[in-house]
Amino acid sequence: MRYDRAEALRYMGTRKDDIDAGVLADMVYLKLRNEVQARYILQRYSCNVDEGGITLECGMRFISKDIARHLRGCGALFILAATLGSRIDTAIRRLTMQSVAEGAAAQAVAAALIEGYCDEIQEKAETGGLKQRSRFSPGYGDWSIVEQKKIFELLNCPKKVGITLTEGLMMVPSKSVTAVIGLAEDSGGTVSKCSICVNNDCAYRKE
Amino acid sequence: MDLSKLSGKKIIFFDGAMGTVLQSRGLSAGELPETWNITHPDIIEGVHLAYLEAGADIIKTNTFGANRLKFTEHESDTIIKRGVEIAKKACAKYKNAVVALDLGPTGKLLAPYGDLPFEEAVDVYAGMIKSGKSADVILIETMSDIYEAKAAILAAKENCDLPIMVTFTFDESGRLLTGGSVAAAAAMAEGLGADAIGFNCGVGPAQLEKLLPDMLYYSNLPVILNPNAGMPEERNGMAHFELSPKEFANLMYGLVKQGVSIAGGCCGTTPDHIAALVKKCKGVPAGGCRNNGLTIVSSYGKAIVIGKDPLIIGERINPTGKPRLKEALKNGDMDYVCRLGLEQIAGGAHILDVNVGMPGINEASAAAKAVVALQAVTDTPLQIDTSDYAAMECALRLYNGRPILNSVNGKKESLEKVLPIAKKYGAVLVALSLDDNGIPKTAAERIAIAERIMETAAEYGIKNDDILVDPLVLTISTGSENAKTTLEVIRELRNRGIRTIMGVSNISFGLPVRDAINSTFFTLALKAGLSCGIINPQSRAMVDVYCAYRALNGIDENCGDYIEHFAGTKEPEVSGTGNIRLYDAIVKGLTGAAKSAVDAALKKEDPLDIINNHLIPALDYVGKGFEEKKLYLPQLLMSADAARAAFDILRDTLGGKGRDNGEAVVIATVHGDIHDIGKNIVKVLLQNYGYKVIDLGKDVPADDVVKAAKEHGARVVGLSALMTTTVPAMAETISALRRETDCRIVVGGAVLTAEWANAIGADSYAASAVNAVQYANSILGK
Repeated sequence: MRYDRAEALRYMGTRKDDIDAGVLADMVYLKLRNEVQARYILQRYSCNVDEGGITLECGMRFISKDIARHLRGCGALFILAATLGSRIDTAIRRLTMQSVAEGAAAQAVAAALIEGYCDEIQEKAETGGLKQRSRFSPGYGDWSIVEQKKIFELLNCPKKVGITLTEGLMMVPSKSVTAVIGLAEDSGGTVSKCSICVNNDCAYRKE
Repeated sequence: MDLSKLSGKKIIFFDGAMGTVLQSRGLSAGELPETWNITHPDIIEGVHLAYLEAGADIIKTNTFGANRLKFTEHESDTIIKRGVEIAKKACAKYKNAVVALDLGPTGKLLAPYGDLPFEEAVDVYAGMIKSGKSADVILIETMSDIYEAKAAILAAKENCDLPIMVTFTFDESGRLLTGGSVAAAAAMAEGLGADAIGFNCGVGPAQLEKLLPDMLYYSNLPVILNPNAGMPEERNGMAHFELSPKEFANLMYGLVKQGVSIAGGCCGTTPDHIAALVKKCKGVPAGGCRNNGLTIVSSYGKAIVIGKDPLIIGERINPTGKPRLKEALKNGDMDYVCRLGLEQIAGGAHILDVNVGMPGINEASAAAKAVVALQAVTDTPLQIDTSDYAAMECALRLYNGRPILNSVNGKKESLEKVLPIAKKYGAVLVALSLDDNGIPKTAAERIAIAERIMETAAEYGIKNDDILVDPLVLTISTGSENAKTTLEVIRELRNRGIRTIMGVSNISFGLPVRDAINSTFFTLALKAGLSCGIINPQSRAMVDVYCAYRALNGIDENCGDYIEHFAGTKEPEVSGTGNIRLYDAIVKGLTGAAKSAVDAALKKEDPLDIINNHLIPALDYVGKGFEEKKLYLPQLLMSADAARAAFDILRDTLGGKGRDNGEAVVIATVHGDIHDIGKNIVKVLLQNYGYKVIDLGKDVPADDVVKAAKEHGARVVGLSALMTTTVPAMAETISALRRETDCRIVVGGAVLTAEWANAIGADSYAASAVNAVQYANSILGK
């Protein structure tokens, strides 16, 4: 699995050329990599996009103006669920207990790993010649986190990849991603996922 | 159906998939198949009949996910009762056919990994079993988490007398979703008293080729194979399975003849697959039970075989003579317990002994907390060490895997109380060779007690393989024959194939330079055949002789472990930084240097002066640098770690009083929220400033926060929430605190903003951990 140190450092809230942080991230990566038990499921659906959301061929509807805007022009989409597995969570707790610096670095490295893993899945996905839009997840823009339940229903995440939802709609294992990826002839001008986000104060915002 | 007597008899055949067939009859994606028991009972019965016609002996009820987490309690009850009725009706004409009550996963991850409490999981399964107990056998299937499987087996044991079958879903590499191996799953299920064990779903027969030998080796139970019809491939959003009935049957034949007893199919298999399987395999005799003679303990992730290679059991989680641990247990500080555990694992412990018994605390509750906390951070198996029967039951019940229970002895009361608990929870049991007359003088008498314990245990169904005898050792300072006697017991038991365990260090009680005696005695005990030494893995001498013994005895191939053990002996951080001042060591975030600097400073200064003159100013400097963005989070946290290491040493010097001097601050991640990294950072920073931090953990109900704030008289409470969905819980906690206390409340977390914090009534919003500490300092006058 790809390890992008620069991404890890961004999640750690530090500069790309921070040597201390870089060493810390690398060290933690070595401690984490054998704990990764990555799994994913990627399913393709035909879809109809209108102003207020997206309707899938099976009748399921995602309600969000932002996702509709993001997927404008897409006749199909992928729904993705991916996870690094629950041993990563145990390892992060273990590292945090011994050192908060390593614990925070582990959070950041694992976040970079799961994003990198999702990129890899997208790269090797068979699109039939269509272009993929960037990942859009419940909680982005005006797409309510409650809609996460719909993705779980469609993909049967607990059984297929071992991702479960808590009462508070958090995914466990925590290093998990669900997303919708639009498929279209054009790339839709590749909007950055930060530009649709309403949290303007976010420390991780990419301009 | 007597599953213990299958050997040499006919293979028993399971049916195949239900879902796959229902989809072909119009079940839509997202529709819950169990509802068809009510809406389409004729179709469900038709599927059962088709499998029975194909030659299946056992059919699974259509109740896989019919639990009260997915349905209401009433719906669940109705669906399950109906499901069993339909299956029974289908079987009417097939006189040997049997109905299995099918129980799948809850779809939730159990606490502390997720948010479903263990006892609630037991209760969810108990509900299903009560509704469906008119079935002939319980099938717990598609289990991808050892803990959840344990909850289901316990529920079955506690609510019916039916035989229990358990099948797990492994991936191609032989791992469960939560990381467990085949051996770990087998050890847990067999220990708890399952009647048959095996594989279902996930992969096809070809992939099981690699996993089946482990199951046959590590388990003694009849083995079940219910794989998919090969691996799925996606066509138009639908899963298609690759194997035709004939291909499936041929591959299964190759596996079944290796000693399998029960065979059928899962996803993608149809009545045609089962018909082909029955035709191909019906002449093969069932493998039945085996007797592998292994002693196995396990955690949620891994299994360890006792008796082949000697093992180290870490003894340090035991409050006797440890004021710091006593203080931690009194305050419920499980982080400290976990750190003791992790240090021992790093030192070479294979298993951790956990003893939390001390006056003034509820041992059962402390044992439960310690077991859960340790299992949230490590997959090292645990040894529950207590003489309190309530604590035993509590800890064994919550344990995720198959633990060791330390201990039973030859006294009548001990046998009567401990043996049923050990049997129920499947613990490997430590048997102390003492009885009402105390510890016998001679080896023969000790062996006689061990034999008597083993005989009585056998009456409860506990095999000799599941017992570790502790020969007990008395100090040689009071009897020159004491070492010899103990070694003789070990040798004799080894010759009889009985495994042994011993706390080694008692041998030197009352003598100077105890390590010299201990390590030599340890070597002799290993040579005599000791299976497990309960030792301090932080003692160089002990671990050195252990490594040397293994190398000399030819157990350590190419001396690899020996070399690795000594490769880590240099401590690079200390060289060149030996003279660095404490202030600088903390500012630079050098943990090793901070420790040496504290040791040096203690020769000249009082611990409290060191804290006030060096430690706090260094933390202030770093905090300010972080505020001004001259330093970033990693540097802040490395400094916090260095300060914590320094503080730990100072606290030990203060005789465990260091923490009690500080004012109490209560912190918690609110109800419903399980992400606590930010809260954990705040905790360490507050501790470094000398506060007595009452950390209530994550997912904490409002009432618990109020209770702790009142109990500790906290003037400041810190709350964190990470998700928009859990901010309402934060608001509730704040109003509850307002009603009953006049403490100040500071809040933080990824989604919060100053406006939002204000709107829900917090006194202050902390954008960072440093802000939270600054707020506490401003209120508490530091």
